[in-house]
Amino acid sequence: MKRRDFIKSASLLTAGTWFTPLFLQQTMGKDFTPYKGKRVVVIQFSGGNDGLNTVVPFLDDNYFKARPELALQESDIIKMDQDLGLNGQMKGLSDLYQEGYVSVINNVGYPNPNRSHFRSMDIWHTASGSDEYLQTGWLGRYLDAHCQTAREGIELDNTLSLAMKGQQIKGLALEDAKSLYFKLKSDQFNELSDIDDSLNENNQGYLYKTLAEAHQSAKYVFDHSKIYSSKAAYPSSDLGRHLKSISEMIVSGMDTKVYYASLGGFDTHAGQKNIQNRLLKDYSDSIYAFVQDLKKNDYFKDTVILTFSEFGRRVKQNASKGTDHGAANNVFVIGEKLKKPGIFNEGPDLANLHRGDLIHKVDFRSIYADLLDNWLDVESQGILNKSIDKISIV
Amino acid sequence: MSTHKLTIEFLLSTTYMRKDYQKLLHLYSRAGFGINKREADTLIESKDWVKQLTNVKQTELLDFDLPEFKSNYMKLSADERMSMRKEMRKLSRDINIFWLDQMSKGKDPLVEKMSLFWHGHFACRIVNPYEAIQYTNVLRENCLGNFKTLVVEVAKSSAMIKYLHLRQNKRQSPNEDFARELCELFTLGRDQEYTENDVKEIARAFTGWNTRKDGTYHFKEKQHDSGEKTIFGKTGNFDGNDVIDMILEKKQCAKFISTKIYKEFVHPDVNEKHLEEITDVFYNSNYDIRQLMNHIFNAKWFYSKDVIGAKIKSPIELIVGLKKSFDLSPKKDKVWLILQRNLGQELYYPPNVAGWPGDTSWIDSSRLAMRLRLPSVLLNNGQIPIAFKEDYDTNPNENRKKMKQLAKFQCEIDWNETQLTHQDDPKKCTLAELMLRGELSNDAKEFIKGHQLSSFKNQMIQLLSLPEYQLC
Repeated sequence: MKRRDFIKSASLLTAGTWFTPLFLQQTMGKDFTPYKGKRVVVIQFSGGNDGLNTVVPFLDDNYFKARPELALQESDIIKMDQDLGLNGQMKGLSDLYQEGYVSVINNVGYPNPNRSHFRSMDIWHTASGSDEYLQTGWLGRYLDAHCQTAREGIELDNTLSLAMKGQQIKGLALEDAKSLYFKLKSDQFNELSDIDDSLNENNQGYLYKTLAEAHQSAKYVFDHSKIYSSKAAYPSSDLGRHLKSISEMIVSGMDTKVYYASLGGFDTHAGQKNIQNRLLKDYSDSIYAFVQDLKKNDYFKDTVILTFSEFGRRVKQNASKGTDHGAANNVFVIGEKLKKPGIFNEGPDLANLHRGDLIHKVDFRSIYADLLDNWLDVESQGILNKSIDKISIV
Repeated sequence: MSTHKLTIEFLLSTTYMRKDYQKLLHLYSRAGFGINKREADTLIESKDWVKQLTNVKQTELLDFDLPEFKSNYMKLSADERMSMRKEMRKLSRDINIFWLDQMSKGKDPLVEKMSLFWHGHFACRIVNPYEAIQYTNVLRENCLGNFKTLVVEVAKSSAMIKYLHLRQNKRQSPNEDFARELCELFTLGRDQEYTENDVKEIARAFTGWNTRKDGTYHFKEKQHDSGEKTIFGKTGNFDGNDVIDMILEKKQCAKFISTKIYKEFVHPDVNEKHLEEITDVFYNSNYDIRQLMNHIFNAKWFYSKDVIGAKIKSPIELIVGLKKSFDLSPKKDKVWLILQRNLGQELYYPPNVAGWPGDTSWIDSSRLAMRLRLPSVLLNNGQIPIAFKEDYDTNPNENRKKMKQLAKFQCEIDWNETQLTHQDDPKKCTLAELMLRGELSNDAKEFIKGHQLSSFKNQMIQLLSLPEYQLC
């Protein structure tokens, strides 16, 4: 290879990864105003978290009967209110709960629940009924209706979830503040991103437009990542790392309205206790560090965190000390000024099950609607395409 | 490696490209996964390219060696079951890669392209390797045959029977899943010429369609509801076959399928006049898929300027195209699975029964970045992160470990051979014209003008890293 060639487009013509670790100095623009509006952080438990061993009905005989080996004893939990206790691994969440920062919404689900991970996750992502297939996500439709650019919705992952895909605007998926920037870092992509306005209306134009947007967004995120670097101690897990990135993006003043992160591994068909305990501890420690970090920087008051899973698990344990796919489940909403902190509604009714599963009392779309209407301050109706029972959490 | 200089005028303009080459390359990018210069030079001599594509003497089936089916699963111990499940999972992965390989090497490109299309149309998630092979071969055998036979055979395949709950569809307790999707997604289109009541009655007509343990079709007489049904305003003792006949009588069905074919093979935006034309051909031929495709590929409008390069490649088209062009066979073939999942299209794993939505939905900022980066990573023997999202059945610890791994894309590319098969030939078509469909954007032209490279490999990477390479 001629040296000239090499210099001209070094990063494309040499072996690389999708995360080329190059070092580059950039400086922020001077006319920079930090975003002070509201935002939502969504945390997804993938695989179907067992809500009954997360928020435990520790005085209910039916609970112990259904789970001779899996039930958590009084000594394994941290008491909340109304005969419910938090899994003992969740000390951090319990502290937030005591401060009045947590709403536990019980029995959340939807009619005719689907027990396939994929299908049920799609339903949660698109906010569809169990008999319809939608191609856009609820947050994607929010982006479409109320945002201008991809970076206003950011997912900490290497691929974008359906929830974050709109028709016009699709959120930005990134592993951290730098990865997308480096993926697009080359002379070639730089120059091609600098487009004239004579773009075609066809797919070629669409690709160039998306490239320009991606390039701009990646640079925006990358530049902001140099403004604030959190010194707070987060768990070294993926979730801890991702929440730390999110906190840095928030505190650096980015105008992102929606952040999305996932924690996987909740499909506990066998040997549930240790697996789930470890995951819940990771979640609880990470979220505690996150909230403290935001509080310290005065950004917690503008942030609400929603945590959900695609379904709960069967009430009765199975033969492998695990649980199978179930239906209704609990959801956490975390924020500084909640309408009704604590246990939001009545706990699970283990005496009345449908084919061994908890029956839903709160439609998950009511929670979405509340977040849209009363937190992000937009009309939920156009986004959820349905009139939904109102509830008031935030 | 010999170096040679491209004349910039030839590189940037399609006016110098021989019209027949332009047509041939366009045809093969749609009816197949592209061809190289050597193949083009051979094909250009023959008279009837379209006939060569559509006249398939004997359809190659997916010839995957499966171990003999064991029906003693229930009698196995827990450990034996576990290891059997593990073996099944491995086989499923192998079949996925085997099919991908077949797509890049099969003797009939159109069979490969059509069966991929039908996989998206009759979308079905499959984990069982026996069912995967059966289903894929049903698609392959009928991909250019009669649409009715295709619908019936898919409906009788074990994969579909399970996926859309036909086994649960019994006389006493009908399950409407299959009936609904048959109308909505497979034949007529949502709310087109059928009612909720039709769906209910159609479900009754399909009661008894079932499968044996070994995956063969089995009609369970006892579960079949042989009573009178009223479907599309007609009353009679209809069964599943009758229903499909009644659906196919409706021209709406021909229109619905033609629309999907048009969007996939011609242009994402449908031209109503062209659609009417091909709908007539399809309907009047009694749903002969070969005649439909023949007509499209022979139509003058198929080769018009706004059609060439108008489509965004699906991830499978992108991957297979690269694999074929450079004869890629990495040491760890799992890398193909990782790419499929990261780019958003995994064989036997459509998002739901509606299939992959396609077109611009393939592209978001992050995916576009990956796709643009992909050629330079693959052709430079670079690294691909091993990160599977939402692998529900893996142990989270194992998963976390995997997240940190990078797979080196160990793959020997014979650049001398590649240069021979992709010979730049200003009199016929240049390298840019060979690799990229449609007119280049002004930005691309200017970039290439300002960054002329001398080595063949670098020229190739430069061209494939253009957004234009994402189109076909």
